[in-house]
Amino acid sequence: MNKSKIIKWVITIINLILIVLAILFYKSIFSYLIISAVFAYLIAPIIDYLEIFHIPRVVSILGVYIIIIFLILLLMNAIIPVIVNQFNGLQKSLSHSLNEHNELTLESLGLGKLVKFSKKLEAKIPSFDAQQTLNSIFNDANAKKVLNAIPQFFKSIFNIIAFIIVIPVISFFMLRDGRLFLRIIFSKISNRYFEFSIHLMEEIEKSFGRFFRYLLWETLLVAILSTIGLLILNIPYALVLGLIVGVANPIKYFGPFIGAIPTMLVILLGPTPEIYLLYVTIMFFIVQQIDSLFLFPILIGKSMDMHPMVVLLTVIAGGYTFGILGMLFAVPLVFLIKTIVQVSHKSLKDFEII
Amino acid sequence: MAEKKNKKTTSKNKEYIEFLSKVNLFENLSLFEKRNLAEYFYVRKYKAGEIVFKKGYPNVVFYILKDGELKVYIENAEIRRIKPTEYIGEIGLFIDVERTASVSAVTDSVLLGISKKDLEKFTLKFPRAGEDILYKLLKILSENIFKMNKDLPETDNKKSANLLLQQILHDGLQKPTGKKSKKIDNITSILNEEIIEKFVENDRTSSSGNSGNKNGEPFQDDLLKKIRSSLEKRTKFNFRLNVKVLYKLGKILSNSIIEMNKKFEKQENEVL
Repeated sequence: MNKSKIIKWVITIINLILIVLAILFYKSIFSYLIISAVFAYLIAPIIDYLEIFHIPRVVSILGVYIIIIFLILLLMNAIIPVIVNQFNGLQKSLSHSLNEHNELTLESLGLGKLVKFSKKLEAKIPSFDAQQTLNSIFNDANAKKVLNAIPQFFKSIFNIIAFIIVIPVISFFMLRDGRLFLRIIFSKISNRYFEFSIHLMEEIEKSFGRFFRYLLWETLLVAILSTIGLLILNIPYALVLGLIVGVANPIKYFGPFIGAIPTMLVILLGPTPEIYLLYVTIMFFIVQQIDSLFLFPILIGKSMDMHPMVVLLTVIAGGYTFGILGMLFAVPLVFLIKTIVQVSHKSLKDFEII
Repeated sequence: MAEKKNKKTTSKNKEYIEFLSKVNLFENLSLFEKRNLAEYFYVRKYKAGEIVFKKGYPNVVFYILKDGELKVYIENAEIRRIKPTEYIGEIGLFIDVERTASVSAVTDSVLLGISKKDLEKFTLKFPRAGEDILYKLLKILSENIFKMNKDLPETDNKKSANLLLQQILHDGLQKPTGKKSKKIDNITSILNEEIIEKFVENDRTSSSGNSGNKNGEPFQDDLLKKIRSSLEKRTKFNFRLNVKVLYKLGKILSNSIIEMNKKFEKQENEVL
């Protein structure tokens, strides 16, 4: 009796150690998994819908992929150059006015074409810091640093390629075998906890899915509305500035202000008359009102009942710990954890487990 | 590794698909639909005596018994046995209620469980098949109501029970149920009126001696036929809309069953 108990404990501890080791080993691909899951989650409704017409999942997934690739190519050719141009112009005008004495850059070395190329690369592949890497190569007189920069450069290229290839592949399997994975996972759960875990999964999916969808729609809509507003007001670089406003918007309370900073700078430093600061402020205010009066109640309703003060503190804490990304993800993360704790507590009670 | 598992499950899937053909809910589904449906099912194995769920638990999974035998009971009093291809939890498919009774395995049993959300997803994805499934489920619900009506003692109580049922069915419409849609609400209310009419008519005929209609068909078949023809007239074979209406109708019927149960439990307690 005692022996078997000890053996049970030992096995549990070994299992726990294995799980921890596995987490440590796979740590670096967690971001891949999360991004793939998000990607799959977004596409899944389309694939499910296409099943009605007896289209096999593999075919419809590949079809959707091809369409997405086509759209990306179209975007790259039609919109990205505009954004790149605007970004270049924005950067130039800002850096011109901010620091008069220019550092030694690629441009001052007369390698403007290389800059353009790297910028294009950067714009097409976000998170790629080609220019910085290149700059650091040329800027540093220190040969050691140049040598250090080269592997880093290749590492970042490797990362991008891995990213571009791996994410669609993982998503593909998630989309094709999602239900199979679920069934395998649930088959490991004992009968006592089976209904409980189904209930838990669905409740979490319900409240978090709604929240997540809201964030996406909010970002998209605010970006589009702001861009339209900026275009109407004839502010230069409207597309880029609108994008920034949209992306910053999900940050609770601070987002709209952070997103508005570049626009304000453009007006202050550019040829636009200063009275436009007021117009732009009013325009952003209207967009915010549309967001909070129409979008929020329709898409979320009362499902996110976090106290405003808690939200505020969460955003600040996120900002302190992880910077701007922390501000962006702190509220969704805390909301997810809160949902899991709340829902699991209720379901545990309902199923008389506690 | 993954592929191996895949192959294993697909060969097992065949077995389940064949089994699903035997379940009356799914007998009219095409092979493609059955194959798709089978992907949603979880296979659960229970040992003799093991509890599947207890009264009062949230009703989240709809089970079909594949092998073995189950016992439905409330506080040690057995209500009925469940044999293979029969199912449990149909009321929970329509409304969020607690389990109304406990279920445990009598012999070693294999159950196929589907989450009610997944079944709803499936019926909306394949509305033609979904409509068929829902008609069959509604038939069971109206059967339950019919039985409830019949089992009542032939006293004043029965009359009041019929009135009560009509009242409850009426009330069901007023209750807000999820998303608002005028079209669905309108059609549902018309169908609901027809159901009530049918019940009233049935009471009249049954008091004169014979249950069922003139053709000798059981009452619930007749009822379903009427609902079907009236629905088809109104929605013109828009199956998706039909599924939504039928879900709503199921909600009303399920609510009625639950409320009737509650009221009669109370009445019985008062008598005792």
